[in-house]
Amino acid sequence: MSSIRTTEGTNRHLPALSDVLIGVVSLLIFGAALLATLDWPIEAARFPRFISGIGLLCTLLFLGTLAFRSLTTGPTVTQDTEGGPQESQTTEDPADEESVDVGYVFASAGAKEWVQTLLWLGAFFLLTYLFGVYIAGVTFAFLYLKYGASKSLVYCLVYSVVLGGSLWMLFSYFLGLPLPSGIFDII
Amino acid sequence: MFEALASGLGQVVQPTILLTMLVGMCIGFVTGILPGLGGPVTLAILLPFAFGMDPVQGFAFLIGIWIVTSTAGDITSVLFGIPGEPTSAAAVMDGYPLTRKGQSGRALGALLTSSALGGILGMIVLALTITLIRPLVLAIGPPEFFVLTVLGLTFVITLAGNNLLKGFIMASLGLLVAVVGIDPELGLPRYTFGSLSFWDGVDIIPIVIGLFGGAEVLQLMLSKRSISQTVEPDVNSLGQRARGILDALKHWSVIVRSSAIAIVIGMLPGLGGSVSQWLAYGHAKQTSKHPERFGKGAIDGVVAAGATSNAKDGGQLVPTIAFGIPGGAATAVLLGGLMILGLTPGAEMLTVNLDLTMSMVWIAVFANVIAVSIALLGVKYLSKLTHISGPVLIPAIVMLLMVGTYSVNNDYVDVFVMVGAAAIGVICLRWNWPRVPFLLAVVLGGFTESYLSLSSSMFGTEWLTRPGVLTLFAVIVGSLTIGALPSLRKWKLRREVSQESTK
Repeated sequence: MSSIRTTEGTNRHLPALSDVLIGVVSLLIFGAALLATLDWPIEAARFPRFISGIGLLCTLLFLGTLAFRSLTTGPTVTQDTEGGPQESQTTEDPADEESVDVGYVFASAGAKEWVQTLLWLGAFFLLTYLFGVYIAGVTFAFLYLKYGASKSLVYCLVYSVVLGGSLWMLFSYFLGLPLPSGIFDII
Repeated sequence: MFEALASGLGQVVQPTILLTMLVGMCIGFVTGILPGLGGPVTLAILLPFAFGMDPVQGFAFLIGIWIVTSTAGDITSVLFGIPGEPTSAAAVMDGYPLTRKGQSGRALGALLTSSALGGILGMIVLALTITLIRPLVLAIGPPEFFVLTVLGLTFVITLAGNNLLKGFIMASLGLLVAVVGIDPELGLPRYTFGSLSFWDGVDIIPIVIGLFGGAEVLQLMLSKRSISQTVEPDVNSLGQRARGILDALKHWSVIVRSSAIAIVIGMLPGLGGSVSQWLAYGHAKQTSKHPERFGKGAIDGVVAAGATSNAKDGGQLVPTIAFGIPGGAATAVLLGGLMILGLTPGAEMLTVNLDLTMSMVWIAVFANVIAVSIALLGVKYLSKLTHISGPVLIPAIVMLLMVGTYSVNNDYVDVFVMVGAAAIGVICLRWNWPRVPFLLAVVLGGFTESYLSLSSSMFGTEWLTRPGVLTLFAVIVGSLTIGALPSLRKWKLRREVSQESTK
């Protein structure tokens, strides 16, 4: 996904909206962090003030660079990485790149998939908070496999019971670690 | 020293000792695979079992656990993109893209081979230097430590490639997260938002799990596909593993350099494996003939990350044994183990008990070789997990992420931190911002602040002129210059195209 392209026919290179938004949010974070340090004694404030100042400066420079580029006339060359991050692409075979790129998955997923996925995860965390990890885990496994992966009833039952049992055996029985318990925990 | 080495070997090659080591290794393998439950936690839980063992048997048990957790953590990084330990995060960068290409066998072959060779190199250095290293380590003071942390950050910022400013912004954000908690000088809460849970700061484990694992879970749920995107039946065959092993051997210089970085950083108390892996990775990228492939499945990236995972152990044992100053969290627990076994770190371990020290070296070498051999044999089966449908893996992975995160401090706040880190990870992947400078800044922030504060209070501004500090500053400038080259090339190219089009 990392290719050079020119934006023929346009006189201005518009920066990616995402970069502008992330830059602005970072600017707000660094600004707030810097403001917070003003109430602290110098010994406690020195380092946070220094790093929030550096962060603020870098973000301003970054946004300034974006603005400068957008004002530059003539066709521009951009690194086409939208939906294709540097960190997670593949290698020697360019044909494979798109299919294995995690960023591409995020970029290409529709609103429906996003909402469904976030609802599933939100439900798991809510169930864990309410009933503890065992009930939440077994229920989530059963429902997700049944409705998210369309598996058979028996498959879902066996999987969820084995998963819950294995976790209990490993963490509670052998290692004796406390696991997340819910406010209505009954196990 | 050679007599002590021979005596140490004689004490280790006993059926009871080897069996104890294997038991420790089995436990270490299981817990190393689980995100969040790394070497330090496992060692802490199992430390009481070493009570009553004789010293060599105790070493076999504890070091067997410790060595294998690193190796197992690397395996999950490559197969699932979820680091089993914070020190395995760099293996995700190139190992996981190879897995998604159906080359998990090759990636694991290279990673495990480099890990074993790095581990053996680390132990050789430990054996050779343990009696000589004392003056050298004592010569490094807070100013050098401070500049080393800055160097670590610089190396990683240069990984941001085309946009160093993005790297700086992410590193600054990470440093802000690192200063959350009680101020070390006055005891004042900073950025805690009124929550007592943040008084001890933000733990690194939920951040690693969220940043890498959370993003991976989301993409599996969205794509509903298996982790490996290929269907060729022979991708994990013996040939693939052999190719990986050959890749590692071909990149022997990367192994040597990465191991050297890991050993030296490992010797510096506190910095540990979370830093050395990224330093080695950054160095491998800067010196590679194909730096553009890094982060996309570069085999030398896998080799560099693998070599550090066990090489650091040898380095960390040096200050632990020689001064009783642990090099990292795991060695801090191991130090407790030494006490339980009736040993006192320091001069005694380098003189009258030198044979026991050498037995530790042998145990670590054996544990490395056995762990990697077994893992290489098991790669074929482990790799099959990556061909299982994504939705089938999801419930198990989500549960493990939740349990791994919660078990760090038994606090729901860590779960919220993990979710927040996952959101950052997704944003970074989706819109091409670098995650690693953020992560390393969180790791290094506390050290950076305390070493800076110590340097200023001990030396005023004179520390800036110390030879070690100046040398390290020169390396930082060189590293930033090399890191800025791609951006300069891109700018030049843009200008040329712009000029041509205006003609």
